[in-house]
Amino acid sequence: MPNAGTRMANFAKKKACHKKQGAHLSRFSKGGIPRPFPVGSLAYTTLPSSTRIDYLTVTSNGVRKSPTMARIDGIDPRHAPFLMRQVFKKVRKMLGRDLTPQKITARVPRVFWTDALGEWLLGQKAAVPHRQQAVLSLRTAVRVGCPF
Amino acid sequence: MYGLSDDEIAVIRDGRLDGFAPPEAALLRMADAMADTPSNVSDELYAELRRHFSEEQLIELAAAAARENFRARYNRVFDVGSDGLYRKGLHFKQRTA
Repeated sequence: MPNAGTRMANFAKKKACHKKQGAHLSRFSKGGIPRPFPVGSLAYTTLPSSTRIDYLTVTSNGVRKSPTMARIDGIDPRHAPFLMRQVFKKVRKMLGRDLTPQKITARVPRVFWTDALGEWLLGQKAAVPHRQQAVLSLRTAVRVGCPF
Repeated sequence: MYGLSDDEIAVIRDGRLDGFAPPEAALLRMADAMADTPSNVSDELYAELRRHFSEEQLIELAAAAARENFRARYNRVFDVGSDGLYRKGLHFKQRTA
């Protein structure tokens, strides 16, 4: 049985650890005692400067603001139908991650397939160098206000 | 990203044209024109584009720009943030056309 000194030392150590993990956010504290947050968990808070919800990710180095999340949730690609999963797999292989717009679109399969087929057909070997297509696409994205 | 340097991407992002060859500068002006509302590509710009690209190439380029307009505007409805695909200094393997 640890004595009182050891218990206090352990408590202080745990408190410091919790603070490091982002548990110092008052919203998630209960009764003044920091509640632990596992690394990788997603928290959210509203900042005074903004009316919208900003998402925070708890990392081993503290709390990091996530890129702003979309207004609606997309599907979990693991639960998508077989053919749709193949598209997600291909995109993941190309870009290293699932794309949020694609996950959202997948909620309405007709829109998803219109988008996926168009993307695939336009991405075929083209008469225009990819560099020039990229110049055009990036400038359009900038002009319309799409963060890439 | 497809052979574009960070500086070139910065020029694209700042709405400038400097540093790009005439065909690419014409494409940037085309992207600007297509992103405007109402969208209008002037006769001068079209003549300039035709000097550098065939009609088939322009069909592909117009489709690419229109598609990007679709995609970018679609994302605005749901306020989709960046998926973090581009980071300064990160270079993807260049694909050959």
